[in-house]
Amino acid sequence: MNALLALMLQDCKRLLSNALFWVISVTLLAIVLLVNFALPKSLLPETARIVTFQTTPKIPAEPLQNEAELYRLVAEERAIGLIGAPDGSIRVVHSGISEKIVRALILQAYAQEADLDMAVVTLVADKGEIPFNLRVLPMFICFEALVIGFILGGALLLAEKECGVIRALRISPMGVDRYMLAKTLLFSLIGIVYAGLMVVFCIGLQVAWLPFVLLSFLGAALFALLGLVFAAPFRDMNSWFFSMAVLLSLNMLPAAAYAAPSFFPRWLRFIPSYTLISAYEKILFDIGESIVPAVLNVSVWCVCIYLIGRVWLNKILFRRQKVFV
Amino acid sequence: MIRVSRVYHDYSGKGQYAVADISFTVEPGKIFGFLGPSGAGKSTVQNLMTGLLPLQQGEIYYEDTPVQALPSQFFNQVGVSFEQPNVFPTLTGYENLRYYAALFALPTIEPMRLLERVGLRDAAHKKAAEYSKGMRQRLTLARALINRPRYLFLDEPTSGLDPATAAEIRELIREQAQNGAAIFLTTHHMELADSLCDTVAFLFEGRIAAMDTPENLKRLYGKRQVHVVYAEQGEERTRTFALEERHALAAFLEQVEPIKIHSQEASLEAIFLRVTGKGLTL
Ligand SMILES: Nc1ncnc2c1ncn2[C@@H]1O[C@H](COP(=O)(O)OP(=O)(O)O)[C@@H](O)[C@H]1O
Ligand SMILES: [Mg+2]
Repeated sequence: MNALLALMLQDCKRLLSNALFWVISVTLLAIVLLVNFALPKSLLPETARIVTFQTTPKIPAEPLQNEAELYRLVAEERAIGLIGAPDGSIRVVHSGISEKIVRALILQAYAQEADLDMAVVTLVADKGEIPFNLRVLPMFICFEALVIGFILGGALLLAEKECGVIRALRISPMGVDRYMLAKTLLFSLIGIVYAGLMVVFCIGLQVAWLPFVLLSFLGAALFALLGLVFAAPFRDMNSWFFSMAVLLSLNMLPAAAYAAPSFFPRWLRFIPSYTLISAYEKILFDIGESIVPAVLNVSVWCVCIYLIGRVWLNKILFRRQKVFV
Repeated sequence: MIRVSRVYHDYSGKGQYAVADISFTVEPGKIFGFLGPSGAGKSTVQNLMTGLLPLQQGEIYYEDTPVQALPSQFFNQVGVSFEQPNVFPTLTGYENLRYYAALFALPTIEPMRLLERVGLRDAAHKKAAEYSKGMRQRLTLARALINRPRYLFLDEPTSGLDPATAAEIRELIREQAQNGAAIFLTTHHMELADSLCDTVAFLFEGRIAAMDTPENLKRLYGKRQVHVVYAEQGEERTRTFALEERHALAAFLEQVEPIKIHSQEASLEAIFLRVTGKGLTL
């Protein structure tokens, strides 16, 4: 275990001196800025229709006589409903806006009097209710934070080939398992940190962290394993880079299904980022189905790719008594 | 003990052997040297022994285990330094050793102590990319020693080193043998082979041309020479005889006033030239 940590530490140091790593890190910053400042929040909350029941906010709103009517308007007409209770607390009923926006709205509507420990009722109407800039966050997490291992795992492996260290590792007691585990765990940790940073800066701290960390760990591990498996047969980084980039864009196809809902071929579901994006939506915005099937799905993928990968890497990188080109 | 017997290797698959009919043993506590010019096949033999190259023909045994059957764990006892120094360029010398130390199941030597021994203490925290070739060479040597290997392979360990450092490295290698390691070493420096090796094999064009202790090789192949320094018309002159020409030498000594007589051993380099017809530096 100690030895594994030592290997991860040295791999991490190698990573810090890798230009690609910094390119990805800067991209992460760019995404955070993009989500926060450049992408439109869509219609919410400024021009949203706000309906109220037994409460009088300091913003333009439509008071209703009937709670059921409020629920209907929220569900069918995408209004945001505010319901006052005798104890002065406020219930917010909406159909999919972020916690951050709910808080902003309440502050605006009640100023200091606002009781921020309000109950928030989310009525899920459809995905369209989440502000556009946050809606893309799960995609950015999958295409940025989680794929670091896919790109840089491959880059580290090929660097080992290029400098010849792999020859020394082959005749060492390292073995393919420790090799794969050290790299996969390193990128899982980086994936959690990076995905976490994106969420903290774009949504805030009010997130179901446990499922989030679990999913990020598994997702990043899967991409790191795929990255190692894919890079192994290449001779050097130059010959690998182009096809790696093509594969990476293939992984982005589920994003196309977002942009054009009519585009949804069956095989899209088999691209790991599809499952991951839906699971992140559930965790971050509480829309869609439970994440349990997604977690199982990604875990099974990880185990399969690991098992295939260890045979494959053993054959390509670690087997002695073999002619290597 | 490592036993190599009747090993051939053909890279091309067309019957052109890079090395042919190679047999020898490397004993614990002993240094076995492969001496030969560049291209003779020294690295090929080392790579066959470590299992990096597939064994096509012949046998290589570590005690009772054939090289093809060595498990990964066996390499806890093996140390290898390569001809082309292969280290992580973006890690420091110290970090490179830390990485390697983590691979072994047995206690390893403290990296700083090893770096000190190979003269890299001051450069320990510099990235290996900034090292000269000689420094990287020494780093791979340190790396090969970090697990106190029982079987040690050193491919040209002193190439590109200045004489003072080379002497230090020589001492370090000798210590490994004293600690019981079986050492296989390749070199094209005859001084190194002469001063360090218990057994030397001359490798020439892929074949072992001669193999024995350095002393025996010199006795068998080297012409001992006798230099007679004598005075003639007030000047010191020298005349050289082969030891076999002892009658001529005796007659000569009758005629002149010898000032001093000394004999000189032939160098391994000269012997290599005699045995193979070619020098070590082609
Ligand atoms: N990977 C290889 N493929 C084909 N030929 C090789 C390869 N490596 C070495 N050779 C050839 O084998 C011979 C021995 O090379 P090598 O073992 O490197 O010699 P040395 O280490 O004594 O300099 C040389 O003729 C060399 O060209
Ligand atoms: Mg060589």
